[in-house]
Amino acid sequence: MPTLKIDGKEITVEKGTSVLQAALDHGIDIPHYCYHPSLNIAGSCRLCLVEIERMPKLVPSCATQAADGMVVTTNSEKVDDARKSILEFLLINHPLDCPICDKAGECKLQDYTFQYGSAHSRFVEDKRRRATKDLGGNILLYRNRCVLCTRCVRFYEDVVGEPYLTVEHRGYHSDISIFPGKELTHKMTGNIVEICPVGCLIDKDFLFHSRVWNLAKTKSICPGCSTGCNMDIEHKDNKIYRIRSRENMTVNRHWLCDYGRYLYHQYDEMDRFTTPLKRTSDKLNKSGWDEARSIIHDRLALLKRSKEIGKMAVVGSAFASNEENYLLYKVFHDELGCDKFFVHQPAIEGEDEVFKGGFTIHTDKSPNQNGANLILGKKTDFWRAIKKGQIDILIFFGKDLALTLSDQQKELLKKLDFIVVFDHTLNDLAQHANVALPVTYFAEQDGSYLNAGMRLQKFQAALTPPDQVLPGWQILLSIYKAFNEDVKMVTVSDIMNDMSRNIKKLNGISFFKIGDEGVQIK
Amino acid sequence: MGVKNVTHKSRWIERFYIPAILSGLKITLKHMFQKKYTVQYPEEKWPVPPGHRGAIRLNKDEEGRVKCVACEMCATACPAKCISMEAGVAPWDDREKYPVWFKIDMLRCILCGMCEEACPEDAIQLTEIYDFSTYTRADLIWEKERLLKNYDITVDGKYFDRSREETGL
Repeated sequence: MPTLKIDGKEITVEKGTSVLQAALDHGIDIPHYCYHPSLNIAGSCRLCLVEIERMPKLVPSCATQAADGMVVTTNSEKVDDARKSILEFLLINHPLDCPICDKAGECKLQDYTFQYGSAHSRFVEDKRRRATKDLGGNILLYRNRCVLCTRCVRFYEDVVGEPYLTVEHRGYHSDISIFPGKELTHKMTGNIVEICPVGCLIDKDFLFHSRVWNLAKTKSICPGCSTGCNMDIEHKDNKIYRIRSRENMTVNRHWLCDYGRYLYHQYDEMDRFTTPLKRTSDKLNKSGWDEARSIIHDRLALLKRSKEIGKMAVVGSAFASNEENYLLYKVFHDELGCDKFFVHQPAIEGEDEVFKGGFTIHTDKSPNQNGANLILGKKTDFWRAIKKGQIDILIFFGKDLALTLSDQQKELLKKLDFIVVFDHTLNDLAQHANVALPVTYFAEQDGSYLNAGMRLQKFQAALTPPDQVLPGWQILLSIYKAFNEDVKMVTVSDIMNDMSRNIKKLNGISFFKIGDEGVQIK
Repeated sequence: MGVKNVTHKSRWIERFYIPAILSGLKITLKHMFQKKYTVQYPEEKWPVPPGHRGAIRLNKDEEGRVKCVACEMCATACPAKCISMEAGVAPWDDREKYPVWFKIDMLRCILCGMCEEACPEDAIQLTEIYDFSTYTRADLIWEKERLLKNYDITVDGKYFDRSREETGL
């Protein structure tokens, strides 16, 4: 473990760490463009030059390994001069179009110029102009703005493992270009917009939608598959504007696939019902929460008294949070004595997609299958139980936007006596419900998921749901409290604490302990 | 403190009153031939000095299109948070971004001129229009069209020469 001195600060790092990463890890900022912790070293931007004692020239700190006894200076006059010159070179052809650039506000060129560069330009000649290119998919290439850090090129080489972009020509004429006949429609493409340090690669999905400083960030977990990528929901006026990945080196590093990145559109555009619905004769009609709750409560109380609880099946969901599945178990098992628990999960086909950089897209398109299995047990085939006529009453927790039923399954549902559905939309199953309750989706509620690698991660509410739509756990908690007055739980955090007491594998875990990066469950 | 009683006994000529009336009429007559200060507001308007910070306008470029590029610098700089807009892809070839809608809540605006200072395109400016009161609150939430009209009636510096019909104010 080499120990080196950066700006007078003694730092001990792992062998093989670059000087730049060592400095960044210990709160010393060295400006850089081409360096990215998840990509190979290029050493092309020359902005991270530092002075190292007994080295004749300034050295790029990203490409220099930390060695024992090194004395590094990151803020000497020589280094400042070098940075200033590099920034001046970069700005020669960079347009002054910050007002119409989507990157403004989170742009590294803006930040570094402000911090290390010069306030004035000595360049009086005409700037080079290049036309903006559409790279296909969601990507626009503003060639004028490029600083040739080649992060995007290396992303496809190192992380995806399939080259799409390259640097064309040499020297002054260098230009980011796409290989002929290709379009940027790859599943991981959205990431290059995030890693581009300037506004060269722009996402059409976000183009001109909002200035970035107006967006609030909420930490969340992607519900798109069982990888459980960490992400930030960026929202304004109760609307999601974009989703960006959040660094978690054990789960998704810095990446997010396009399916997860644009998944929020599906939730935005879904045809959701926003009041509780009850069945009168053949139709589902609007109802209020009090009425819906009392219908369910009366029916369940009757069932409890008649001791026919064995006729009830409760289906939790791989799309629901752990707290929701846990409360399902609490209410229907501990309180009512039901023992038929199932988990609804999407059909899994094909194999997981693993990219060169280790990023995995799972074929299991539900975020919490492991959590649901841990809490409710690994039973999925409730259709067989219905077919056998063992079930009269079905409690179904859905939240699956892709849920469709076959005609045979629809026929089976008609046999049932009473169906309660928790869902967003009136899908094939909710159509058959006696009571359908509108629940919030991941961006509107707090909760936790257990991902495919058994990592427990929490997500937070970014949006306020419509008036009559409630989080699933709140609805279940109120049903629970109607049966048991001793229940003291109020928040999601209380449910998590209760869960950690009662489920062996989750012992000692609380929302606080999960933190931003999650905890590993054995 | 002692009290002093003062009595005035008018002379006969004073009690006649005619000279007093005539001296009053003399002053009136004098003013009739002097410079007049009355302004027939609102038909006529008192001009304000240059640099007056009145109602806001959105400027147009040479082709009559809105000059604004929807960068939201004004909205960011605004201390009263009265400016809102939505940016979109411009329908013109030579421009990329433009405001699809642009709204200023003049009920909130404090006429500080920060927007004008923040604007990188000289697209938003304060004008000499000072009388824009309305009968309803809704009328004081100005859309892009209204702000562009403010430009038309003030751009040549002849706002105070225009008739009420022309300015709509």
